[in-house]
Amino acid sequence: MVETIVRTALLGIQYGMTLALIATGLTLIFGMLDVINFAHGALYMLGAYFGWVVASTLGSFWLALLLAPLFVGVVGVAIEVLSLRPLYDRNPLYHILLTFGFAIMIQGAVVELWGGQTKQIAEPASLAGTLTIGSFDYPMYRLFVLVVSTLLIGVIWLAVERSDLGILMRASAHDSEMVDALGIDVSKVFTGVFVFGAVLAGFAGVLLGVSRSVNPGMGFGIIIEAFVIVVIGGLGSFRGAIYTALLIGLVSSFGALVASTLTEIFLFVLMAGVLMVRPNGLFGATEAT
Amino acid sequence: MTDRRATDPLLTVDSIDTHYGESHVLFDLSLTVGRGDIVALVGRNGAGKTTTLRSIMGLTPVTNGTIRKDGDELHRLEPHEIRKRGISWIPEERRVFGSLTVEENLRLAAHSGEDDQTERFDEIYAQFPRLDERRDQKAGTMSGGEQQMLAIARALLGPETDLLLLDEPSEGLAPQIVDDVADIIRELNERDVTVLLVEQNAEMALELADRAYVLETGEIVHESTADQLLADREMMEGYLGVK
Ligand SMILES: Nc1ncnc2c1ncn2[C@@H]1O[C@H](COP(=O)(O)OP(=O)(O)OP(=O)(O)O)[C@@H](O)[C@H]1O
Ligand SMILES: [Mg+2]
Repeated sequence: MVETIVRTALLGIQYGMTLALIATGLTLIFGMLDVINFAHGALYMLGAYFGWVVASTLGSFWLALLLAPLFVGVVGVAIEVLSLRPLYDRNPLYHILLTFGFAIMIQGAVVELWGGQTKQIAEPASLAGTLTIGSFDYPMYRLFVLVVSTLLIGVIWLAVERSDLGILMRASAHDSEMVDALGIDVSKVFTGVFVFGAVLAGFAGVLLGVSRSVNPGMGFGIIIEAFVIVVIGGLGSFRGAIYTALLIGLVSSFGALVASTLTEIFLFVLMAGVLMVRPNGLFGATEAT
Repeated sequence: MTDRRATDPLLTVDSIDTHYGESHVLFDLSLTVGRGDIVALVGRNGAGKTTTLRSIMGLTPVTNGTIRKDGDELHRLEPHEIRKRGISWIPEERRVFGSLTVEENLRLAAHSGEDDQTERFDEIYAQFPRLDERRDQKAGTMSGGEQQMLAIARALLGPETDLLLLDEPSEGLAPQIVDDVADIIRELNERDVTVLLVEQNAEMALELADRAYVLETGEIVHESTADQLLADREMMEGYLGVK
């Protein structure tokens, strides 16, 4: 009984932290660029595919984990510089249509290149097997994902909250024109944030491409969850996204114990409930503005 | 007051036109700011004063004409590049970052400076003791006067500033605080900061300024020394509605 709870909790935290990798990018992009990035899920999916390609051709999961996010970052640069940048001053509807279009295009390209069937990134041999403590055991790989994504989130948290980077992000979210007039090249900051989000999403794609499967539809699945997280956490709130991702991870894993088919419904019930009590989300409007 | 314009212009705005989308706001506007001067730009609401400063700062690019500082062309540059050429802009309503503390606002401004700014920080805090007392206060919770001090301090960090564009610094401030702000502008000017001052409060601006321009619906309609304009009650009333 206790073992089941511990295992489920670990699973929930691990999933929550990988969701956080996706949701922080999404919320930072929204908070600073004012763009609802529907292509974010597709970038995650692209990360998984690039990871699969690298892992299966070069035979190294580690290279995949290193290179795939960088490739996704390059795609991110292209999207931001070539298509998003000229549209920042426009109605948000343009951003939605554009990024939604990219999501569909990326998915189409992936199906064209690698087909529609499900793939999987091979687990690295060094992380195969399980960790056993007494009568309790847990898959090594999942433990690795938990540790790596928690560390990464921790580092990002420190960077955002403790350095001038966080100040710059909050100020740009609030009044980017003023930031520009203070001598800071805001368009570079915007590109940086978008690419940073893309790299994180790609990284999450590789991590989950091992434990879950790699398929063209995975982006649309994850983006719904990521949006729920961003909305519950408070649009544009960095902390909110992380706490909520953790909460959703735990809700999903414990929910699966009780009634796995109902967890998705429960997510939306949770979102509706939070929004009724706090229309700006848990951390909304206290941080970004 | 000597007219140094002809001998040593710092900023030269030459025949600029500025549009917001389709609407034409500035018409063939020219003005010169001499090095070390305080120049007032006055005019009624909607005359285009803010737009003039925005055009100089590169925020609303001109559609025609040239803007030069020390002979360098500015009118094709981005705002952050213009800031790096020594121009600082203090906008209407100050626009401090309300969710950041005083210290964070200043750190952000210092960010674009190339040298180590710790010494400048100390100077700024010495010059603005009220900011020093409030380092950790959120800027959004400060009074209008304090926010104006912060906006001025923020403009002085980062790249060395030798030209300050001030948009209605007296707006919404009690008379006592307006005097404080005027003192600060005078002090800065004594330390070789050239000032282009936009004001609704024409009296305050003209008392500070060496020279003055009057703007009416996007065109310069008058230029003289500040004293001349201030002394001519008829003109003051005609252009500015001041009795
Ligand atoms: N973003 C904008 N889009 C369209 N028109 C604008 C914009 N900003 C200002 N205008 C118009 O340009 C003209 C000049 O405005 P501006 O703000 O420069 O005047 P101002 O002299 O600073 O006025 P005030 O004393 O009220 O601050 C006005 O007619 C105004 O309506
Ligand atoms: Mg104005």
